Amino acid sequence: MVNLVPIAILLGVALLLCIGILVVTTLLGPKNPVPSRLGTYECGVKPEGGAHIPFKSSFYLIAVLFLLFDVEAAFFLPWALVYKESLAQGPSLLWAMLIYLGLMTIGLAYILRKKILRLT
Amino acid sequence: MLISLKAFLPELTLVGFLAALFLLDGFIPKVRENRFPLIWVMVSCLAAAIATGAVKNMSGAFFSGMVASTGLTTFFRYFFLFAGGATAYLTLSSGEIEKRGRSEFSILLLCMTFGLSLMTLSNHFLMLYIGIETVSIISFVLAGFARESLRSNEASFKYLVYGGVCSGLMIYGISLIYGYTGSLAYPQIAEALLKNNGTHPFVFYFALFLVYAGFAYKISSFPFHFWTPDVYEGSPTPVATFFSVGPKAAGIGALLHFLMTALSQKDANGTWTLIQGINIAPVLALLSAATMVVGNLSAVAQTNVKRILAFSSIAHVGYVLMGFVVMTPAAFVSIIFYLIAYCAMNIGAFWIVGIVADQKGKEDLAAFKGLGWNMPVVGVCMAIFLFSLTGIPLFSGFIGKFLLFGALIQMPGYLWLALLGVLNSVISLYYYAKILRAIWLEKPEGTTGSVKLPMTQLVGLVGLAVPTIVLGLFFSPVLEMAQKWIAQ
Repeated sequence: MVNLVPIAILLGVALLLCIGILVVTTLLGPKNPVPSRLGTYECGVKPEGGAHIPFKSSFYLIAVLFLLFDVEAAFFLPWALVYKESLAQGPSLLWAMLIYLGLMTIGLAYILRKKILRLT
Repeated sequence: MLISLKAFLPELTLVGFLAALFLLDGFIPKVRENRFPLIWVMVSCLAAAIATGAVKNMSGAFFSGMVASTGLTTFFRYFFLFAGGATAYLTLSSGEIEKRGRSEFSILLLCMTFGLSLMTLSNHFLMLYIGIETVSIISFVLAGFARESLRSNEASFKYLVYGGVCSGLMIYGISLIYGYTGSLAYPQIAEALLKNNGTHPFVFYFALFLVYAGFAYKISSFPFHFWTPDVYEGSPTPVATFFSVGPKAAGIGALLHFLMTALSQKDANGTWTLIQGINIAPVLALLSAATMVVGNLSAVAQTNVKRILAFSSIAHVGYVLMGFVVMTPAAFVSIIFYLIAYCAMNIGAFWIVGIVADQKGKEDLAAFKGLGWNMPVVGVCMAIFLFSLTGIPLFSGFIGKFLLFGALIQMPGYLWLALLGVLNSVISLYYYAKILRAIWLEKPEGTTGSVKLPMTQLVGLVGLAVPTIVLGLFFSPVLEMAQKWIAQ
């Protein structure tokens, strides 16, 4: 059996701290519920309008696509690191990357064709 | 590299067809106006099945040990391709997938079929995780495919939250296993476990349970089954049909491969024994029992037929988990047979729910009243599927259960589980019979005229009902094939 005592102590301290802070703040904290304090805090300025306003959903799509292509492009880095060594054993890694690139290009072509990146 | 690509040919075929569908849809907008995308899915599944036949003798590990192809993966590849193709076929006549969304639906369906294959092929935890995530993320989108339906959106969201939690648990478990064994590849994990010889059992079992969370979520086994009824009820019926067969079988296949290669050793006479110091059979037995009981008892009180079938699909996972308790070749053969039988009868039953929902606009028991008198073929087929799901003799479900129970009682100490399984079959008879009573013994509401069924639905339903009966009477060829797959 592993020695779990330190972990148990850590857990206990964390739990006590959480409960303690909650208890102490409810006991000691001044209670002064004026309406302005109960409102939404918006950088100190008086909040205006509702939070549920419509925004253009294409922004969301662009963000998702950026994330996708960013992550996909990140795969090139480790590939480039081992590429030179693997060339000695034949060009199979090059073909692998070209296939990958081809699949990505198909995705990009689809996106461009569907006019997703056009904001107007 | 080249040999790896060759062994990966069925999946490459799917990817090729998928990429082509993307391009076709992007550059020829007319494609989405008719049934072309769905037919394309069927064609690609057929092509991939031919490719599977071509590489079925290539067993071993490929892509530097990331994926492994065995006889079992050959079976599961065929299985997923059939499920994918069948789903595309039944979507042809379904009104729940809007016509302008057919292209996207087909693309997602094909991509999910690919992910399912990847799950069962994985021989490495990273690959398994990628496979599970491929399937999960597409599942979330498919569950919410009926965008205007509130229930569909709810299903998608619930699935997403559940999936996020379970995949988080699983990856935490994977990290613990990596810390414990020093590897993520199944064979190396087995080696390390042999050396460790059962030290620090707490860490190991905790990690194993967390990993099981990921599997359990995919197959909807007991502690992680809560999403199933809501998601199946909310998603469009073709999607629910696919969910109830594809990802479940993939989870079972991946779990089988994990148990067989990472946690056990194959000895000379072809049976698997768990590595010394690992004792998970009692836990699996309890999970199986709990899954069966929870699934069946929850189904009893339901009135929505799709929910009943969702709970029944949980119960069926409980039956299949029985086979994991024993881990003999006979048990694995019965799991394969059960999956084949379950695939035909469950797709059929869900399909009929979809047909009724299309006509009546709802899918509760009241909508099924007098269905047998309005649409006799549908009524008879539903009776066949439901009897088979119950496990009544003459139908394939009976043989599946019989084999599972038979494999289970070979192992001393698990008679109680087999008896519980029989008891559960009796409980399930109650709620299946409730549907049948509505179909045959009650008078139809409103219009009583007979409704003509489209040819595609007629052919498909009969095509699923016939194997359900035939496999119940003439099952030995399938068993022989399953034995061959297991031995390979």
